[in-house]
Amino acid sequence: MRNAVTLSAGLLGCLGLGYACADPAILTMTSIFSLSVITGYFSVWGVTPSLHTPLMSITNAISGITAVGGLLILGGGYFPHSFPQALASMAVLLSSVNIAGGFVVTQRMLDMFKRKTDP
Amino acid sequence: MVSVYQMGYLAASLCCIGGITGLASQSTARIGNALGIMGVSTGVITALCALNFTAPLLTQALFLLGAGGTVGLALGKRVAVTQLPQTVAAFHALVGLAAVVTSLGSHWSAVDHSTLHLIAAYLGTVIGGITFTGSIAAFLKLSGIKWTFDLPMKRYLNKPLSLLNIIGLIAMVQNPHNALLATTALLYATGSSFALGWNITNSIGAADMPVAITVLNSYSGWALCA
Repeated sequence: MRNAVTLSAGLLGCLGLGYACADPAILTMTSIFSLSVITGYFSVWGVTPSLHTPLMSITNAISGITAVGGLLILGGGYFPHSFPQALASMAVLLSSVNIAGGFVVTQRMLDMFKRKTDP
Repeated sequence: MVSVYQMGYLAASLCCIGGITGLASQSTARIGNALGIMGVSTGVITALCALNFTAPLLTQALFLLGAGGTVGLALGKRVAVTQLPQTVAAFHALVGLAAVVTSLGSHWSAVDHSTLHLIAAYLGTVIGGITFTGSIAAFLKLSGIKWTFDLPMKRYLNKPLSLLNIIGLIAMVQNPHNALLATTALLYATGSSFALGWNITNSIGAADMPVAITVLNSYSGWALCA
C-alpha cells in the first residue's frame, strides 16, 4: 500500500514537472538523469565487496569529467581575461589533477589484488 | 558535426559506465580501469574538438590539462600504499571545488539565464560545495590528523541551512534577471554547502556517483543549448 502511494506520487510528480516546464531541454535532462541514476545504481550494486575501495577511487576519477564543464566556459587568450574565465581555468586544472591521479591510484589499488593468473 | 560530438559524449558516458561495471569481478577489474580512462579522455577530447578553440585558447587549455595531469600522476605515484584511501579523498575535494568554481563561472559568464541553466548552476554549487568540505574532513579523518573543528551549534545548523538553500534556489529561478539576487544566492549556496559538507562527513563515498553523473549530464546537456 505504501509502495503504491509512493509510486503514484512519483509518477504524478513527473507529470507535474512536464506540465510546469515548457522547456523541452529540462525534460530531456530529467530523462537522462533518471536513467543514469538507475544505471549507476545497478552497476555499483554488482561490484564485489572486496573491490569497493578501487570502486570508490574509480568513481572519483570519473568525476574528474567536470574538466569538460570548465573547458566549456574557458575563454580569453593565452591567459584568461576575466574573473569567470579564471575560475574556469582553475576548474580545468583541478579536474585534470583528479583524472590523472585518480586513475593512477585505482591502478595501484588493483595491483594490490593482482593474482598470477590475471592479465 | 554536432551529432558527431553528441555521439562522442555518449561513447564517453558508455565507457565510464562500462568502467564501473568492469569492477564487478577481479578478472575484469583492470579492463574496467582502462575503460574508465578511455571514457574520461574521450569526453575531454570531444569537448576540445567541439569547442573550436582559437590557437591561444587551445594552448591555455592544453597547458592546464597537462599541468594538472602531471601533478596528478606524480602525486598518485608517490603516495605510500597505505595512504591511498585518503589520497582519493583529497582528489575528491579538488573535484568538488572544481564543480563549485565551474558553476559560479558559468553563471557569471553566461548570457542567457534560462531556468535550466539557473537550476544547474545552483545545484552544481551546492553539491560541489558539500563534496569539497566533506572530502577534506574525510581526508583529515583518514590520515589520522586529530585536529577537528566543530562548527558552532552543529546539531541545529543543518536543517535551516538546507531549507534556506531551497528558498534561495526558488527565489533565483523566479527572478532570472536580478543579477544581484542571483549572485547573493549563489554565494550563500557556496558558504552554506561548505558548512553542510563539513557537518555531514559521515556519508562520504556514496556521494561520488551522483555528483559525477549530474555534472557530466548537465554540462554535456547545456553544451547543446549554448
